[in-house]
Amino acid sequence: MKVLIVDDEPLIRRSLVRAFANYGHVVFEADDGVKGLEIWQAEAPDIILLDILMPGLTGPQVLDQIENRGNAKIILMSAYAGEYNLKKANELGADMFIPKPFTDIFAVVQIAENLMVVN
Amino acid sequence: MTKKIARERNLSHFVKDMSGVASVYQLMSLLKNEIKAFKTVENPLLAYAQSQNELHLLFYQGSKIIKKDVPGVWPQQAKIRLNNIQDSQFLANVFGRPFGKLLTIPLQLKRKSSNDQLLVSAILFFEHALVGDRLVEFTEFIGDRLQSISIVLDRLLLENDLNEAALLWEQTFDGLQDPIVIFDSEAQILRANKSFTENLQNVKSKDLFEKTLKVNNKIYEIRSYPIITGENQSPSNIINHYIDVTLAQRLKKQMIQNEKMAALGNMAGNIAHELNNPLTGIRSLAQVLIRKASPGTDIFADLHEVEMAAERCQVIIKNLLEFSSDKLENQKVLISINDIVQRTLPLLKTLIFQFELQLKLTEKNCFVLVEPHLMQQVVFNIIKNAAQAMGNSGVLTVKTEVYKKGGANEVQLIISDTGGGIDPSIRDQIFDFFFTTKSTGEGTGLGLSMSKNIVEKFAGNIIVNSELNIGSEFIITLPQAKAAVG
Ligand SMILES: Nc1ncnc2c1ncn2[C@@H]1O[C@H](COP(=O)(O)OP(=O)(O)O)[C@@H](O)[C@H]1O
Repeated sequence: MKVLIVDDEPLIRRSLVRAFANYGHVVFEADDGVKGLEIWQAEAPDIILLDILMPGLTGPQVLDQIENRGNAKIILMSAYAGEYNLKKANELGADMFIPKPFTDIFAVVQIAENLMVVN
Repeated sequence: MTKKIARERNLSHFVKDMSGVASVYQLMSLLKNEIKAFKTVENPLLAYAQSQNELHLLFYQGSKIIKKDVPGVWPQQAKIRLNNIQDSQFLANVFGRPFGKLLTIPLQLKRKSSNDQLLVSAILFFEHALVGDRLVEFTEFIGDRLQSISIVLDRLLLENDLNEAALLWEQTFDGLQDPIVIFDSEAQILRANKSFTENLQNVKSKDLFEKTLKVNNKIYEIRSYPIITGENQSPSNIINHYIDVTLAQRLKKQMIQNEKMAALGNMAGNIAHELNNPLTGIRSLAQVLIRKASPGTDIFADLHEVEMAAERCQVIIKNLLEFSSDKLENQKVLISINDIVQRTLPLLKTLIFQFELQLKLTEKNCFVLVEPHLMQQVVFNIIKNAAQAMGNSGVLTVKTEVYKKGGANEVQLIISDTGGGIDPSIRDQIFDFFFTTKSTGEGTGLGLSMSKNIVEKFAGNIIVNSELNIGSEFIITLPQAKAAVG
């Protein structure tokens, strides 16, 4: 599947890219919301991993501007787990919430894959 | 003629003797002597008032003069009188016996009552069995001496008032907590209050005029007040007030320290957040790379180490964030006391690495209902104290246990050290706010008082056992929380 990772933290992007690639997925990355939206339009990925706190557009703002979403899944990620949770993420229109820091990067891949399988 | 001269001479003797009288007691005994010649006159009885509703009675009991204070109705009549019923009743009431014939002699004193009325403020009573000429003679005899008696009594009572005022002043002066001293113009001490004598007696006189003064761990700020009494402009006396600002300064220092700590806590929180991302990157990448490495190779093993190290850092940061967080307040959660200990120990690593750590954690259900970051502070404070008490080496024991108490279970956390112990003389004070034996920078005197507060907030208690040169143990007891499964 096609995966888009939008996160301003290079090391987080890099590790996610590596982990998804490791499982044979096609991965795109963007270090801010605007670039993320461009890739979304150009590549129509199956799943987006979207950091909530980013300079420029925030995750929820990016989510708001996504049109023609189709079957694409969206995962919100945040280090400030206290303010966000799955319920909040669902209200914002996302399918899943993953708190940071990750303890197992492959668990993240697993969660993403499971989301795709459900539908 | 000769009789008159003798009378004058006797009188002037009496007046002279009276002028030397220094107390009402002396006045009584002089009077007693003076009337000795009148065989059937009893010893004198003197009543005087210093306020409107209190009366002092002086009378003889055998050869002793007794002073008795009576609240009572005061016979307000300014005339000399004989066998007055009211007077007899008054005395009978006071003494509880009937009185015989009575000569009542009011004394006109110059002292005034508080509302400025001239009042009959003293009375001389003579119980007697005189008749006829003898009675007239006695009345004249006393009449001659009346003015002198009045003047002396006036003086004595005035002195008495002054003495009382002086005493009151002295007591007030001594009662003031701050040292106060009065200097003359030559900087010689005229008067000093008790606090001054106790605290500043041995201070060099030139230091007594500095702006601040440090004596025996106490800090004083000095205020000087010149007193100008005479016409000339230069002060005749100087009052120095030494204000004890020890506590105020300590509080101020403490506040600054607290603010620093809060700022530090904030900073630590920010740093922890900043470290989180790269750390997660390191750990995640290590996880990715491990998948690519062949098990059994050095690279595989090394990556594993990197991953584990990163994990450890993550845990420490998580604890640090919780520890410094204030958002979590008022959120009691079920947590095992072991967990609290395990979360806190990594934060203390640099403080306790040189000691032998004996960790004896119970396997039983040791869940408690607490705010974890607060309990962590308690553990942190007590272990920090233990480390400070041991210096370079020693054994630090951290033990948890579960006991039955009545129908319920109690969870205990026991932290003991092999440090110098706590002197019995200060054992009652170590839980007091700001009590510390450490220098600034090392101790604030807040650790134990805060810990006690926290533990009591969770329905627990904290006690200490200590033996000099052997060590100390702090025992924290908390109620076991029922719901959780150990
Ligand atoms: N384990 C210990 N061994 C010896 N003395 C101790 C120990 N714990 C506390 N004390 C004494 O109790 C005092 C108060 O402790 P605390 O309230 O934590 O404040 P602080 O440690 O900042 O002085 C300390 O200054 C010390 O004299």
